[in-house]
Amino acid sequence: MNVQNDRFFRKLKLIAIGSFCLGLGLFLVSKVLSSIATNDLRESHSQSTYSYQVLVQSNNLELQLQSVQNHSRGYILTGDPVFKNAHNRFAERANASFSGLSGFLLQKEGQDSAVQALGTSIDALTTHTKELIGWKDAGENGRIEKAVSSLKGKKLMDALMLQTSAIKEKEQDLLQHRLKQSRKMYTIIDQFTLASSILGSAFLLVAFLFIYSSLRKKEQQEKKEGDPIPYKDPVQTLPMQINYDRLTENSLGDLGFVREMLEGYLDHVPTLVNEMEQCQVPADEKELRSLAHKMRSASQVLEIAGLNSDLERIELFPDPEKNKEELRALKEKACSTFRAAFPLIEEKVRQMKM
Amino acid sequence: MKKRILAIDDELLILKTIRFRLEREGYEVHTAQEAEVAMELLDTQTYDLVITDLLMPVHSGLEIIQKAKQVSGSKLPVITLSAAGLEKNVIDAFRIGADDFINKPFSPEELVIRIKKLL
Repeated sequence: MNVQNDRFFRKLKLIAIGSFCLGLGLFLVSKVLSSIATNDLRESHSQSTYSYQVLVQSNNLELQLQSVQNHSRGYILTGDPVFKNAHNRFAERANASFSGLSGFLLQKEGQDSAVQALGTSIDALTTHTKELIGWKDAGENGRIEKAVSSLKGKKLMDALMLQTSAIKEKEQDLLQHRLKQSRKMYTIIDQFTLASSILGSAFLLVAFLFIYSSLRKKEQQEKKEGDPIPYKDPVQTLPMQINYDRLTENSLGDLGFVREMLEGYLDHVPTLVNEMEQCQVPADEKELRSLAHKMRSASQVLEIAGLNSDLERIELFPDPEKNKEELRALKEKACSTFRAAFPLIEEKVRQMKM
Repeated sequence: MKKRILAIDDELLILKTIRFRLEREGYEVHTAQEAEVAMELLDTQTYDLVITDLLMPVHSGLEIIQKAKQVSGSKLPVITLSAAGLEKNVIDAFRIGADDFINKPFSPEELVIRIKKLL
């Protein structure tokens, strides 16, 4: 393998390594982004679960506190112990709900004061309802009337509702904010993934086309340099073409005369080619010019195209001493073209004789 | 009586072509591959027109033009043949009395038309 091939394969190797690294890089970036997205999803899920629990516990607490108040009111109005038992049961449940809710709320920093305030309010409400029930049991209706007319229970309940609403609103805001952030991040990741897919595909396509075309080019070049040249009809490949139609037209359709001309050409020109081949450059410059002139004239009669410019250059070559290599190359080219053409003309003459 | 034409060129195939075509047109054609032979023919024969190549070995076509004009008192028309790239020779030919010229490769049809114009 020659130096050119080595360079070529080094270049291909670099391209292959480059495309592999880029592909790997894109894969790693996608993987990192995927991990971030998964982690974010996990956090969002955790946040949603937490918020859901806070909201449920808050709602339960509100319902239970309302029940506590309703049942205490029922007992005061009817004196039916069913209401008193229900009051006590809901008061216990409210305490349990508060414990659960405060457990959730205290998982996050900065919630202590809100939890403490809520606990104090619940205590105040349950203490108030228990006092009313105690007064009912003791028959102190005057105290009950006084407490009811002061709307203390309603005020305590309203304050509690405000506190639970604040907790719920805060949690809803947190949840919405979290979801908004996630949506934003997913959009960015989605766009990046789409862009990297398009970019990666385009790069791979370009790399593939480049490698493919380079290999094709190399193959063609190697064929040109080393492989045997595939057979082709010499008439198509020769730079020298005989215009038989024009020759026939100039001979007024007399094929006998055309044949005579071709035979005359074959009798005459190969000798000139032999003489030209023997010419030394630049020593036989004059003879070379003269032969080129004769060969040009003879070829023009036969309407042979493709050699005129080379022969004219030989005939009018400006400085053979200085550019002898160029003149030698021209001479060799002209001779080899003529040599290749003779068998074709012979074949044509043979066909015309048949 | 047939018009007589002398054609001079060192290339035999050109002479054959000229002869073939002009004889078909009814001319009597004499040919010479060498300038010396042409000079001799001009001295010994009478012609109505001369066709000569300009670039030939030994004697150039210019000498033939001069000879043709000399033997005829400048009345004998001369057509010169010249390969492309040798325009200077054509100008010289006109200076010494050539009547027309045709570039090689030439069409025999064109040659016939130019001859008819001069005769």
